[in-house]
Amino acid sequence: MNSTDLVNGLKNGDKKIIDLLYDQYAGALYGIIIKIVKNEELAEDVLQDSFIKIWKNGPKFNASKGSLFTWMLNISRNTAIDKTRSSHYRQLESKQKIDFQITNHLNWSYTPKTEHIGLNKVVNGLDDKYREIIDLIYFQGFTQQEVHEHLNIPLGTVKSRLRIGLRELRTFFSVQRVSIIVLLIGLLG
Amino acid sequence: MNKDQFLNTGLLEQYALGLTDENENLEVEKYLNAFPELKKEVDEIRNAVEQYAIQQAIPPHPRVKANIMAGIDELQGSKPSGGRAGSSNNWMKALLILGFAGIFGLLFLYTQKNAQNQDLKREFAELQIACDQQNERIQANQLEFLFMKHRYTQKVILASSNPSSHTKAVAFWNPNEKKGLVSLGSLPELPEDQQYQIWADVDHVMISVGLLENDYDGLQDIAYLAEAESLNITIEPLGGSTAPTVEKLVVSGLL
Repeated sequence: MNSTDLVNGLKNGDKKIIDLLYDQYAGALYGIIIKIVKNEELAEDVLQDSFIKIWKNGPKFNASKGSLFTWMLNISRNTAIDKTRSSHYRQLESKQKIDFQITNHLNWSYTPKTEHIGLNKVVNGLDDKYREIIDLIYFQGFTQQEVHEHLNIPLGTVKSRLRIGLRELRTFFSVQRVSIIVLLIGLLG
Repeated sequence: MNKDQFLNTGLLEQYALGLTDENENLEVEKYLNAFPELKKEVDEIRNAVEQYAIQQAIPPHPRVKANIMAGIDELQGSKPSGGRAGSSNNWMKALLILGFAGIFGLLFLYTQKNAQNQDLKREFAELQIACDQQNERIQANQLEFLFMKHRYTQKVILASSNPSSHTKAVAFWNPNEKKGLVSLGSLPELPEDQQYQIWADVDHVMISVGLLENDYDGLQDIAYLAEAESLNITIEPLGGSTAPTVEKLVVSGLL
């Protein structure tokens, strides 16, 4: 199934598409949601609500405005941020100081997909100062202004670090693609 | 704002990450249309962050998926575009698709059969030509055979004047039929720019009676001259000569 079929299916409210999208992206979205709400149970709720919204809003998705993943991420991120503003979340937060560590909270083990094992090392090599800004902006929906206030670094620096960080990611993932192609050619040849 | 100033605003990154509002989108799209290379950059950023996000995926508990699917099932009844209303429509679509598939299938078979037919016709025509050629060859062979067996046909061995050479050609000469044939026999192959030529000696004058094809094993027609006393084969430049190159005389035989 290609991306056009996916988008068409989504527009028609096809349940099978949600099944496929879930298998493909739920892990990535869940990983981001959990960074925002910092609680497994809430993150599950948010993921569930997000996918229902994705299904309901499918007909509104416009491929010319952005990628499917970005659109799904926006829905998930907004749902997560809304959750953190809810009274329930505030109660929870005040009752127990959340000392959040994903690895301690998860009672089933996270095995990275094989195709990503090799990537981990390299992307982990992305300098923390870039990674922090990408994570805050992309995953948690901070504006550049908010990052500037939150981290107390000049706005110009926030912008240039985001730009450099994204450039490094781009380079890394395009090199990755080239090396996979080279590997394939090697195997076939 | 020029391109660099625009890039310095950081809007392009925000846009690629899906974090801009409607007004900002319009602003960014203006630059994307003016500078197509930025469009590529946006696609690359989107792809990279998607990969980045997938790389940091954490599998949620399986109950989440089950809840989502159940939730959709529950909502599906109330959603006008989904489910039952579409199902009769889907049947119609399926039938239509089947119908078209059938028509295309038949069309495909028909064109295939047609092509097969054409191929067979072509093959048949080729075989017929080959058959005719074989018949002609057999007839020619029969005629040659009859000619060689003819009681007035004289077999003439053309040999080298050099006694140590075993090179020989053979000619058939028939005064009654006024016809001559020659076979190159054991004459050596010639380079492409040379050719054997056969001459009849009439009153000590050499008259050409034929240019011989280089690599032809069979009998070749030569002109018949009643007064000929001998036949002589020389090597000449391709296309032949008007007078024989005597020093290139290979074989000869008296009639």
